[in-house]
Amino acid sequence: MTAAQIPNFEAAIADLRQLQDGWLDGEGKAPTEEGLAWVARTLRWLVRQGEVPPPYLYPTPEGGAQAEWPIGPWEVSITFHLDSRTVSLLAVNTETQEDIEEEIRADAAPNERVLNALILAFISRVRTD
Amino acid sequence: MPEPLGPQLTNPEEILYRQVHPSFFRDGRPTSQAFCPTPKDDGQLSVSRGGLTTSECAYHFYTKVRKLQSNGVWGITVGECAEVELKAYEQDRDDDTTHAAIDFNTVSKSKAEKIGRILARRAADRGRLYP
Repeated sequence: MTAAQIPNFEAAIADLRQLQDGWLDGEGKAPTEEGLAWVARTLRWLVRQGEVPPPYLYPTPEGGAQAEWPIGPWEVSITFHLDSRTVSLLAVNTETQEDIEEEIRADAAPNERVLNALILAFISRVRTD
Repeated sequence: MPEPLGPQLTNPEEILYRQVHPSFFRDGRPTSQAFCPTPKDDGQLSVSRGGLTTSECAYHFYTKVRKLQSNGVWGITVGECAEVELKAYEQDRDDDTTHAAIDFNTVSKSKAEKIGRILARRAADRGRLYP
């Protein structure tokens, strides 16, 4: 049995950089360097604000990345779709099955800081509910 | 094309073993993606039946016979699937009579992603079962 540890998303990003196409038993697209740089900037900014802990970070088969936070009964995630520069935000209460979801296109925000603030506001909704 | 399903599993206590790919495991925790079918799965999440095998045997069969990568075995029960409106079915294969499938084809992709979060939480709470 393995216990969850404090996540090290910087190490996860370094590992994601090493992925090759086909990483998931023959399927699974490798994320781009430029896309991972965006993921890293966003997560560093979020954690620097001191309101959310470091996330668990994983690749997605579509060549993106998914950050996950267990917060009380909630499972909160940001899925970074690197090709479309879109983020899907999802929070699911694992006890009541209530959910909140939102999708934001990066180019719909005036700049990255505004996009990051929108993401933080989403996570904060769960933290204060 | 989804594979044919056998009889439905009805014992809510039966544990279903799920192999988690090394890239889907980080800092002691599996991603919710490991509990949601990927496109190649045709809406059916592959598991091994706890009533017919052990987590150890399931792991060795997956990594040594099928030669696929697994970080380890995590578990959810038939009852936990039912709580999120999913059914599990026998799905024997020529080389594996313990194989079963959780059918996600009855729910939308969006709903499947939400269910994946809930099942992942149940599995994470239970902890890795092997090794």
